[in-house]
Amino acid sequence: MVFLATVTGMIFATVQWGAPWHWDPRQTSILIQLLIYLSYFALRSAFTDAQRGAVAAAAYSIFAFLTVPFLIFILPRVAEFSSHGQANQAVIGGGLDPTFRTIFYSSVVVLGLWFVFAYKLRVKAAEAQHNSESKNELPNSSDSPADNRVVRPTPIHPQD
Amino acid sequence: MKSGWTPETWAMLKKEILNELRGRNGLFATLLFALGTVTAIGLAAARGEPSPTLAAGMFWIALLFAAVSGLLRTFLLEEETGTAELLRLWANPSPVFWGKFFFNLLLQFSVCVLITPLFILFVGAAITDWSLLIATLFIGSIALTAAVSICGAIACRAQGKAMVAGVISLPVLFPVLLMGISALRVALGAPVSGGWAALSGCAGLALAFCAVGPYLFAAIWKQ
Repeated sequence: MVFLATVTGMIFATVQWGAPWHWDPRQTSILIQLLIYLSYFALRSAFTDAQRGAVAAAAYSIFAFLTVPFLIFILPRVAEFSSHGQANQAVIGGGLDPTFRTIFYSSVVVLGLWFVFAYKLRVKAAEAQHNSESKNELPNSSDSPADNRVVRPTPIHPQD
Repeated sequence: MKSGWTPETWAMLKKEILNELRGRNGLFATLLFALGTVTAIGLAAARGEPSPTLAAGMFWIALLFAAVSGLLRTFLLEEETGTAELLRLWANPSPVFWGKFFFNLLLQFSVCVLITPLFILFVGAAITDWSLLIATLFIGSIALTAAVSICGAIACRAQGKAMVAGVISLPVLFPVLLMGISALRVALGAPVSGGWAALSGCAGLALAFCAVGPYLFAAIWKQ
């Protein structure tokens, strides 16, 4: 989604300001967010233990979130690196231009529906995986649960 | 050993310093890396004096790479040498985090002390605001150290931990880098204002990292 927003933002910038990339605060922020997401996935996939990877990735996402208020509210005010310096033609008299309004709201609806569809699909996949794992659990030969926790030594060289 | 946050943190810091003094490989490697980066920057700038903004950017890149290459190893080394489990049994997470943080901060300050005069010498940068320069180095070092220490702790059990820790540190450090460059370029004489405002943003980020860091570390350390 962030990648899609970056690409559509670049198309918008080309139409508005004549070039796809200007290092303005919004573009810089979204690029850093994109890198944070990629790092999140890199971190999560680097663990062999899925549970441990999930905890590490969750900690990283909380830590990385600390940068968000700075990127959105503080950075545009303290760092003067916006270079296009032209007014946004999509905004007319405090409101959106009708063409941009149609594109914007239809994008919000379509992407919102796509998110709900993808979320439901993910939940179904997780449920299917959970059911599959439950069915694949082998029944224990022992009746006593305590016996399952005991590691019994097996002779490597049985004596004759 | 005395129990309590301060003695435990001091013991942790002392352990890190003693470890470093026995081997000295980490300190030398970090300083050499920083020296090499500044030399490369000096060679790049030899053909002409860079603008204050470009010089500030190059200086921060040297600081960033020295931090990522040197500061990550404190947590990674514990896992590699197998002493992390003992540490988990022996100490509370908070003193472990702060002990390693203060050690990393000392290392980062050493890097700053070494490379700042060399950078001024090699690049020919003219300092117009010394107090802003020193404050930027001080606060920027705290922000870099906190972020890199936490990322090192998060990735210390991953496969290819050194590379993963480096990769996850960089995007989190970019806001620090941007605000640090904005502050440093004013100290180097760029005709813009807002150096102290940028530095206050950097200080806010450093404060946020230091406030949240110990809690995140406690959550992942005992896993």
